[in-house]
Order: sequence, then structure tokens, then C-alpha cells
Amino acid sequence: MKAIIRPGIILMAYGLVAGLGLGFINSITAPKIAAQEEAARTAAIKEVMPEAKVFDPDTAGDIEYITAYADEAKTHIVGYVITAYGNGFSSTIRTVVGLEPDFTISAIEIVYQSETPGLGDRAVECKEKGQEPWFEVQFDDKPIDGLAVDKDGGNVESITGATITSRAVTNSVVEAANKLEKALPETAIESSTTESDSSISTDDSLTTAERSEQ
Amino acid sequence: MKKIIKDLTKGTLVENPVLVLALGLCPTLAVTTSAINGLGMGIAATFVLIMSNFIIALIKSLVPPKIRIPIFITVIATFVTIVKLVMAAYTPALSKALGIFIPLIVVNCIILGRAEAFASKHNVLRSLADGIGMGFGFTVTLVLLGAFREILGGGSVFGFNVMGSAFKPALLMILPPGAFLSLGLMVAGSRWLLEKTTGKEAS
Repeated sequence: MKAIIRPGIILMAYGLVAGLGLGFINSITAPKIAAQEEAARTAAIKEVMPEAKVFDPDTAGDIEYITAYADEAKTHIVGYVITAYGNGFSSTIRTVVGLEPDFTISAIEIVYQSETPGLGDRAVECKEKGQEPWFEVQFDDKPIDGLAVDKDGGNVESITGATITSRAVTNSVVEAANKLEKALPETAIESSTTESDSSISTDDSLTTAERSEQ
Repeated sequence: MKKIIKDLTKGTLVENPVLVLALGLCPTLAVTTSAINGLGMGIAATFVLIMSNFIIALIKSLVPPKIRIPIFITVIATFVTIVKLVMAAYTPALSKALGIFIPLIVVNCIILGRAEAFASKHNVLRSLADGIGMGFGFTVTLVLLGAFREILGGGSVFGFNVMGSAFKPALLMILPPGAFLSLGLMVAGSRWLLEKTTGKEAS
């Protein structure tokens, strides 16, 4: 019995020292890492909505979104920016999505993924230096309606050997956009200067009911 | 003193961890798609190797032989986590490029191999020298391998275009088969160099 307990206690002591050390390092680096991620997200938001000058974060129901305006006075809405969360092969993929008022995608940018190197992580691969990743570029100017990977009969070319990753990004974008479409306050849609999508529900009670379902 | 110099230099060629000892081939083959990735991986692994060799040589008398492997792994994993956190905080681009390979340093057999075969049997100074030497050999090999693949597969080295615009890159060199081909050539080259310098046939 002693032969088991003694090594166990020694191992525990080593674990304790290692854990304390890591906790200390983490307390120093955690705010830096958060700041880096925030900077990457801000850059991504600008990237997907290049025409916008003012970004106004807002919530509708349980959805966080950013309204992008073309002018300082916030009269002309150029679109919305949302973050989509998709369950990929080995990570939750976070994608920043820029949507025009008629729910056409302006651009997307994957801000976090840790998919399989060489397969799933090609979602952020650039064919040549300085180019945008080819997988993300495909989403530009595509309507949310009917957006799906080619394996599901859609219009997004999936990454070879990484259907799960491709599908996760595509479906999470569609899902997040649909949620936003349902949750958006109607005033926001009415005040937008471009034509509004016919599929947007105008029945207030229905919108609320659907929102509570989620 | 002579021993320490030998420990410092043996990793470069005579006992190169990748080319001669054939340790840590997984990260070697996987990350060397460019010279900068090789350098990042090499430096990260070297840091972990030096620190783990140092700590393990220091505590070797406090480690019961029965549970030495779990203790070594705890020490190594701690330093790997430190590298991962520091990289994510200060060099996010590199941390993004190396991704999953940083946590995998924990199971890089060079590090556990050196802990078991060297640091647990030698004093702190020689273990430090061994860590530096082995880490240097690992880094140099990875940078050379990465540069070779990047030049042939992408026409650039460290991101600078060196082959001109007329060069058509051989994409194969960036893909996994290119890693095996380049490593094979490098092993052959190091054997040739070893026979030249020592004057006898390498076993």
C-alpha cells in the first residue's frame, strides 16, 4: 500500500507546483491574449464591411450584432456584422459575417479555428501570398437563401477532405443570419434605405414566438 | 570542460536529433512548409528542451524511479503550456501558423528522450549544454528543411521571393510527400558530410 501512496503524493506535489506556476503565467498572459483576439475581431469586422464608417454594437433577443453605418450621423445602414459559431471537426469555428440589409453576404472572415492542419485549416489558406483565403472569398455577394456546401447541393465549393469544416462554416453562417433576421427590430429594417427582403416577417407576434423558441 | 563543448556541438551533426537519432520526425515533417515555421517550431522546442533538461537534472535525486516518466511529462507539459500562452499573447501570427504543433511538443520524443537518456543521468551544466546543442541541431535542421521546401514549392524563402516571377513552384514540395523527399535528401547529405569529416563510414 505504501508503494502506491508515496509515489502518488510525490506526483501530486509536482502537479501542484506545476499548476501554481501555470496559474501565475496565465494571469499575466490572459489579458494580452484577450486583447489580441479583440484586435483580430475588430480588424475582421472592418474587413467584412469596408464601406462602413461607424459600427454600433447592439443586441436583439440573445443575439449580439453590430449595425454598420456609412456616415457619422447613422442615417444610412450599409449592413450588419454578426459572429457565427460552427462546430467543426476539432474546434468551434468563429466566423465574422458581414451582411447587407437585404441579407446578401458582403464578406466573411474566419477569426478562430483549430481544425486539422492540412485539411480543415485550409479554410483560411491563401493560394498566393497577399490574397484572401479562397474558401472565404466564395461567400462574397452570395445571398443567405440557398447557401450550402456543394455536397448538400449548394453553391459553396467545399474543402477537399474537410467536408465537416466546410459545412460547419457554411451552416453556422446561414443559421446566425437567419436568427438575426428574425430577431432584428423592425424599425431597423424599415429605416434601411435599400429594399427590404420579402421573407422578413412583419407579424410581430410571430417574431416574438419564434424568438422564444430559440 | 571538454565534455561540455562536446555536449554543445554533438547535436549539430554527429548526433543530430532529426537526421541521426531520427527523433521528433512528426513535427519535423509537418511544420516545415516554410522556413519561418521551421524556425518558430525549432525555437519553441529548444526552449522547452533546455528548460526541461535543466529542471530534470536539478530534481533527478527527488524523482522516484518508478514514477519518473509521469514527472518528466508534467515538467515538459508545464513548459509547453508556458510557451503556448506566451506565444498567443505576444506573437499571435506565429501562434496561428504553428497551431496544434505547439501542444504536440509535449509528446515530441526528442524532449522526453533527452530527459530520460541524458538529463536524468548527468549534472545540471552538462544537461543544459545538451539541451542547447540538441535544440540548435533541431532548429537548424527544421530551418534548412523549411527553406528547401519553401524555395522549391513556393519560390520564396522567409517570405521573400528569390526565384523570380518566371519560376513555376513545385507544389508537391509543400505537400506531405515533399517533406519525406526533402528529409531523405537531408539525411543522405548529412551522412555524406559525416563520412567526409570523420573519414569513416557512419554506421
